Amino acid sequence: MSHPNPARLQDRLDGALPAGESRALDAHLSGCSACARDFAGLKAAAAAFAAVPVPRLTRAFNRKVLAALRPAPYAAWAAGAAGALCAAWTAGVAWAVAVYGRPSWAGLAAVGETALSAAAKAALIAAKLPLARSAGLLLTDAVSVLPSLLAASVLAAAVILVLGRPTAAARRKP
Amino acid sequence: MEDPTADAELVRRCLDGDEAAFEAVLDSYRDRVYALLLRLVRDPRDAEDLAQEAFLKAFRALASYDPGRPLASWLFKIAHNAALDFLRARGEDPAALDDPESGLDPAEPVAGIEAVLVREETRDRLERIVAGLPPLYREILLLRHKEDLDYRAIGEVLGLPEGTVKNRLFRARDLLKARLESAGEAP
Repeated sequence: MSHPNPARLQDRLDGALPAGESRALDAHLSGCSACARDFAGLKAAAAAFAAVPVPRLTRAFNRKVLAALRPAPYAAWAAGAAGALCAAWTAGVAWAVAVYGRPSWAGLAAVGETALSAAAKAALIAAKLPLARSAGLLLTDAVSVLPSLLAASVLAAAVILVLGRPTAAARRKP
Repeated sequence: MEDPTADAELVRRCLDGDEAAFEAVLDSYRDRVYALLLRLVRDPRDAEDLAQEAFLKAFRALASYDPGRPLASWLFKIAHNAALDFLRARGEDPAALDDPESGLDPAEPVAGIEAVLVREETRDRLERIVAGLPPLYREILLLRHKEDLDYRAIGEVLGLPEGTVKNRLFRARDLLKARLESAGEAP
C-alpha cells in the first residue's frame, strides 16, 4: 500500500473509513514509521482538545430564560394604555372636527394609521417580551411614535385649515 | 448521544406549554450550547447572552423543529447563526480562517505534544492554546471532539458540505498540532 494522504488518516481517526480500508491502513501504519508519526500527531491534537475542560452555566440561567418566555404581567395594563391612547386621540380628532369642520379622507387616514400603529406595537411588545426589556422598548417605541403623531397632527391640522369648512360656532368667534 | 424519541417527546410537551419540559431541555443542552458559543465569541458574558437568545429563539420556533433530527444539532445551528451575526455586528470576520501558521507540514515531528500533555500546568496551557485558534476552528473541534458529531451532522449544524467540513477539521487539527508542538518546545 502506498502512503495514505492526510485526509485518509483523518478519516481513520474519525471512524469514517469502511472496515476493510481501516484494516489495510492500520497494517500500513504498523510498518511505516513516518505515517505512524503523522497519525499519532493527529490523535494527539484530538486528545489535547478533548482534555480542555467544558465550561458550565448555573441553573440561574434556566430561570432567566423561563422568565423571558412567560407573558409579561403588565400585558393587560399595556393594552389598556394603548386603548386609552387611541381613545384620547379619536376624541381629539372628533373635537377638532366639531370645532373646525370635517377634514379630508387623507387626514383621517393618516390619523387612523398612526393610532393603529401605536396600538399594534404596544400590544406586540406587551404580549411577547419580559418586563424589564419591554419597559425599555415600550418607552423607546413611545418616543419613536411621537414624531408620527406630530406629523399626523400637522397633516390633520393642515387638511382641516385648508379644506375644512368652519362651523357656525367657529364663525361666531371674534 | 441523544435519544431522538425522548427529544421529540420533550418538544411535544414544550409545545403543550409544560414548563418542566422547557427546564429539562435547558438542563440537557444549556452547557453544551454555552460551550459552543464560548468557543466562538470567547467572552463568557457574551456567550451567556447569546445562549439565552438562542434558547429563546429555539423555544419560540419549536413548531418548526423536525422531530426526526437530533435536537442538539438544531440548537447548535441556531446558536452558531446567532454567534456569527454577533461577530459580524462587532466587525469581526468569523470566516477569516487563514492563519500564517496553518500551512504546517503534516510530517513535522510531534514529540513535543506529549511533553505538553503530561505537564502539571497542562490544562491552562491547553486552554490558552485552544483559545488562540480562529473561532471557526475552535467550533468545529468542539463539535467533533466534545459533541462527537460525524461529518454529516457537523455539516448540518454549520450549513456546509461534508468535503468542506473535512477540510476545515483537518486545518483546525493541523494548526492545533503546530501550536502544541511550539508550546512543547518552549522552555
